[in-house]
Amino acid sequence: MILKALDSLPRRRNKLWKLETVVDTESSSHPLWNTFQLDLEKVTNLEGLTEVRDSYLGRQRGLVALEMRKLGQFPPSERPEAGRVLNELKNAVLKALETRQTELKKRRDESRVREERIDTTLPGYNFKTGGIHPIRRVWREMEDIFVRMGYTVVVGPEIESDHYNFEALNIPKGHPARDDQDTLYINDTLLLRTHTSPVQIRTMEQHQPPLRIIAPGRVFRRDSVDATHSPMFHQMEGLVVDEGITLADLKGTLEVFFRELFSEETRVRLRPSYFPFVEPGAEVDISCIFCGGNGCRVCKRSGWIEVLGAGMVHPRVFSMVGYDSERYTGFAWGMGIDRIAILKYQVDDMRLLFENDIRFLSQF
Amino acid sequence: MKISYQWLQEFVDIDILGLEIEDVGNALTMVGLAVDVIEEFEDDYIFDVDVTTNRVDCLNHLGVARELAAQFRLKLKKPDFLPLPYDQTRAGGFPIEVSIEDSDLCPRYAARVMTDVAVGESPQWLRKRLESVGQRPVNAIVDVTNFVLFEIGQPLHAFDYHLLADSKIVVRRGRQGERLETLDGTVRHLDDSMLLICDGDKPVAIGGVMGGADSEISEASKTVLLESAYFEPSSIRRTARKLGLSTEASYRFERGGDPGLQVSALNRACSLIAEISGGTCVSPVIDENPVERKPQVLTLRGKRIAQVLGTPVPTEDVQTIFSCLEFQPEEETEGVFRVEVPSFRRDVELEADLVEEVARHYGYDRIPSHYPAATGVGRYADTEKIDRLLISTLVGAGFFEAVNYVFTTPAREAVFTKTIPPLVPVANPLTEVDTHLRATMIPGLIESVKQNLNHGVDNVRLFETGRVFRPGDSPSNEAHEERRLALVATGEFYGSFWNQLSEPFDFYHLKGIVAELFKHLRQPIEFQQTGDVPFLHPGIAAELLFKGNRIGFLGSLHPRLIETFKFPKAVFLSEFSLEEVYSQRLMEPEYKPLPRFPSVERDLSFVLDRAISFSTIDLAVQALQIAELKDFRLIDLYQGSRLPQGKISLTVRVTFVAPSRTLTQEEVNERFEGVVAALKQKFSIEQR
Repeated sequence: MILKALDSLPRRRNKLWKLETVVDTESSSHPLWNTFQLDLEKVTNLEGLTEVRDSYLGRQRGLVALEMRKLGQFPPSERPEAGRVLNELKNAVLKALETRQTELKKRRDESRVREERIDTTLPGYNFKTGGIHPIRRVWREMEDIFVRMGYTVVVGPEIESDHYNFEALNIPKGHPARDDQDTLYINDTLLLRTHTSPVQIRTMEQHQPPLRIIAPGRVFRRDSVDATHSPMFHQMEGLVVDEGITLADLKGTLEVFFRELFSEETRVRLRPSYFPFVEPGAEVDISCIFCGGNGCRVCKRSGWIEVLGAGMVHPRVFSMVGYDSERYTGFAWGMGIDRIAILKYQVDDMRLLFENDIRFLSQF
Repeated sequence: MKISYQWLQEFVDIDILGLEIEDVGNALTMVGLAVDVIEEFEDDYIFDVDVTTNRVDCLNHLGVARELAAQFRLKLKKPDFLPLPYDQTRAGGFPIEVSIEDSDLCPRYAARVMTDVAVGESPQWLRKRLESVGQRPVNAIVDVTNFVLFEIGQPLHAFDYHLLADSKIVVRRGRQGERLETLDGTVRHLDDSMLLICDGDKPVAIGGVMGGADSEISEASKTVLLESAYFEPSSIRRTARKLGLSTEASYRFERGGDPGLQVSALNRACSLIAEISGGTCVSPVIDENPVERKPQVLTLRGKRIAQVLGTPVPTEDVQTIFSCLEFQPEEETEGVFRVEVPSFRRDVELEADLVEEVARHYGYDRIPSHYPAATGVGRYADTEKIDRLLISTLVGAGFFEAVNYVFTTPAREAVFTKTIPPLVPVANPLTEVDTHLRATMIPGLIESVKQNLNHGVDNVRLFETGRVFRPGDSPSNEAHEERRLALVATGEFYGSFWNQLSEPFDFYHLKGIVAELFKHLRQPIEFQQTGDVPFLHPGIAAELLFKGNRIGFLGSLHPRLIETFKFPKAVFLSEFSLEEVYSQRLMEPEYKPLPRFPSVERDLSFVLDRAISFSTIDLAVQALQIAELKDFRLIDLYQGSRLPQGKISLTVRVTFVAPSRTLTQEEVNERFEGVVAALKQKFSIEQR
């Protein structure tokens, strides 16, 4: 029988096949057919349809089932014909129910899309995700660029020895450059590092060139808190040592970096300056990221913004870590992460970075 | 450092180039003398030049003019340094004896006596020069000494000759207990680390720092002794620090200066005094110069220039640059220069310094740009993956990252705990709020919560990563750093929403977040009831155990502190060390095939003593080691009036699954009954 055959087929094909095969029986000569048609016409929804289906096709009390059970009462000669008629009725009922169901579902969906309306401009749920600090945001951006450029990130302690923070960087006791970096001391030999250069010294002591490192981290100065100063801030320093590294490489590297960080149009300017651990030393300016170098409030009309100090590693620094300064040359630079953050987001007061005001933090 | 444009023009004909004043400023900037501001002063322009600490030679107009001359390849015109003749017939009336006792601190001392000077007001041109660089004119003699200082950089001092006992100058270390009233009217206590200028019986000046009030030039002065000396930089620096006294003289001496300039400067000053005040020299030029100095001679290889700068610089340029800078260059062999460094450039000590001189005047802007190819793969710090994992999870859970200062004070710590942990002291704090380093991040975060509440932000969730400090346990390890993560939360967990009620943030929210962090790290974490964290509510506190070690805590802020800070709601906090977490290898995800057979759940409700902690129940069930037990979780907890005193009711859901087959009813029943029996036996639970 057709239904049996249907059941044995894989479910997915079931419906397609059923639609095609059941189509051949569209009416029945059985007397129940007319009653069924009348009942079906009264159906207005899917629930009603289920009721009609149950009353005709229910396995126990369905009218078709009852008729089936009566088949035995027919004389044997009439049974085949009675059975055929009954089967025809069942198929016709199935087919009619199917058609009606499709119709009713369509009507239901049409009424749903017609009637259901929400105000989608009402506010969405506030998921309240948090956020990373603007310093970390900029720190990561900078770090990511250098890692893409093949640099390895190195870190070190915040409490440093005078040796690593000063002596090994060609800043002996009594050197006037110590005034530039007024230092918070723990005792005679320990201090809160004033830059992350000590990490570079430690790395050079442990590794031979070639070297391409950045040393980001927290640093300290004996400065009082105001709109542009903080006794604690963050710095990123870079160091490249290899044969044939030149000041031109420093310039090229910083150009690539600042174009990644700000925009393709960013220009880089080196001008002479002095840091005891580099020679030649340079102060590095970038073309103003706000006016493109034409002069504005941010760059004080100069077109340039001072962003970092740099230079070629001083031969004395190399000799202190046992590098041959005839064979190897290197460049180093250092910039304030907080300073870049303040510049990038135009934060008008550095204190905001350390106040943890969610009204501020949630803007990043 | 203020530099007058007109004054510069006395030494270099910069005006003939017809440059805009901004271009002159820019030229200075590009040779390393950064011009911050250009101001107008009468008919002059004043550059505010940022002179780096190595360039003491540029703390005067001649030095700056030399740089401009070199930059534009112009000729430098120096002032006249010829000595005035002296009146030998009158010399006998003005005896003077100069002796240096401590030549390690004073390698050179030149002096001359002039008499018949009229100490009056300086002429207009001199007053203008001084005023243009921010100096207040005093009298003709003092003004001349200041003029020479700003003109060529040599600090001078003028004594009233008649006030010097025994007509003597003795340069020696101070003695304990000696005192001197300096020109600023302050009585200075001297000691043997300081170099003094004394007369026959007492100090009359602190060498290189400030003169004494007693021998000061006044309108009554008729005869002056001019001092032009060179002092040892570190000694001046030490003395100036000790006295808290920084003067134009000490600022220059402590940075080095020029040991070859003393006589020239003296001659220049004498000529000016004679011109202005009409005096006569009555002594020869006295020049006590016991320390022999040889000029520094360095070798510069042309190929080293290219090796460092990345571009060759033509030999002619090298020659010209050094000539303009008054270095004596000599090409010894092809491309190799012998360079004699002038005495005013004591900062030039190595070939690298010469390379910088070439680069400065060849032009940093002419250095080409080259990107060096990468030599390997870049790597993040070992801790970065863990940090990013922790931070992204916390951000997802609604936490904002805080950054607090690492400073604290014992008084502030005392607010949080009666037994303050040992703190690392800062030896030279700038203010009273940064005397020590923090031992915990909690006080900072609690104060941040307070600030936010004050600003009307009611729901505060903050985290901070950073270091805390404690004194080391040995002289070789004097301070110890530990990296930590701290969390704080107060307010609502679900914010109130227009179609939903809010839910207050509670202990279990924070615990869930901490557990989630460790789930993401794929590392185990255990929570154990504790009562010993001084700033936590003793009944609402847990310690965090990582591989058996206590790494931190989690809990509710102590009611005492809730009161202290006037917090409207409970505040939950956690802090733990990341050191052990960092020391673990970051676990990669481990794939387990998805179950192919259905799992079966059974719920169990039971009543038990509330003193029994859930973790003991959980552990007891795990201890049964039922292979098919997939999950044992609490789905409901009731404690209330419908239960006997001291009892609570729990509902747990137990899930069973087998990897290779569907469990039968009987198998599930057997295992479930095993769980129930174990709980009955161990904890006397009553099944409901």
